[in-house]
Amino acid sequence: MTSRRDPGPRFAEEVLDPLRRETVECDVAPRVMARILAERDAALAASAGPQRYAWVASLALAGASLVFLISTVMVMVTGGDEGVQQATGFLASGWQVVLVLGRLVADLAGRILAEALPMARKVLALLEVSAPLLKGAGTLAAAGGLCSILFSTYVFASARRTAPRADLNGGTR
Amino acid sequence: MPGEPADVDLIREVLAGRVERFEILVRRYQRLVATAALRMGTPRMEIEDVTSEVFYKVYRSLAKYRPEHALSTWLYRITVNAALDRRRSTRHESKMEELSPSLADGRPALDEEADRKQRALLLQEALGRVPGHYRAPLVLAHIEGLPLDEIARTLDLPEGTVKSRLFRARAMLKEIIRRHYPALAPTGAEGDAS
Repeated sequence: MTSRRDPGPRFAEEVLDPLRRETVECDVAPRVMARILAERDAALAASAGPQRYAWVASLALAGASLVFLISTVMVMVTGGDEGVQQATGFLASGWQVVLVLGRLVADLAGRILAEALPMARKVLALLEVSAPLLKGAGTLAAAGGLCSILFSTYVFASARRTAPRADLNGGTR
Repeated sequence: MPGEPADVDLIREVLAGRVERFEILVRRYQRLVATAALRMGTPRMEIEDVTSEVFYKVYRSLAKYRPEHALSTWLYRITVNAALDRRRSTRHESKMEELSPSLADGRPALDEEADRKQRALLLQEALGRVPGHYRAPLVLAHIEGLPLDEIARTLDLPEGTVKSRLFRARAMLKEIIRRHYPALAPTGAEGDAS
């Protein structure tokens, strides 16, 4: 196709006017909705089936495993299995070790408390005695701080009053 | 419209699982979609197929809709793409409805309404000769009456590209009319069109 210059929007408006007035009436809603609903139902059925089966299968498997485990343990215990006896002995020894360790920890904590409590009482008594002194020192420190702020403000204000002014060219006046 | 649910609300409801609410959207926009498909050169007998395909695509990708743009812009985009895809796959370019010999010959028809319809058919055929990526901005600008920025959004193109395609599409249309459909040339523009 040969390239020509643009005839302008008015040309296009005029030429295409009959198409602008043409509209199409159609009703596709039932068709579209039937397709969408059919797809949704199919998707629901497809997703619900395997999910349900998976749940049932895993629950059944879990139940069977539990029954198998319990029955095996019972057979081993009632049959006087050597492994069970060893495990029971090991658990009993472990329990003894835990008990001894617990006692040791409790003794240690008791001793520490017995040493620390009198010391804490002494510190508290000292604080009670020195409370008025500490209060006075705090008040004095606060007053000193206030004085320092007031003095700094005064110094800063007088420095600003007497400072040389800078002009726009970088010099001073 | 007062009393009627807004597009955004309907979309939210559909996404929340009330699929049946999508029917309201279909009924609200099916005329716009069908008309745009026709204007994009879809043959009348395929309009319903294209329209339902467009709404099905809209439903499938409803979660991707961005409410800051009008739903119609999105629908135009999907319709334009569907119409172009359809034409590419079926190659119906020249299978338009039969034209009356009077217009095809460039002679005036007796009945005004029939004349207008035949002119529209002839125009569709002429538009069908404009390549798809030029036809789309031409249809959206001069038939659908969309502003430039909305056309750019609809076609997912920069405004500059849309402008240059519009220039070229108008020049192509003028050339097609001059060569093959002289009866469609605007009155008083014979000299310009030749």
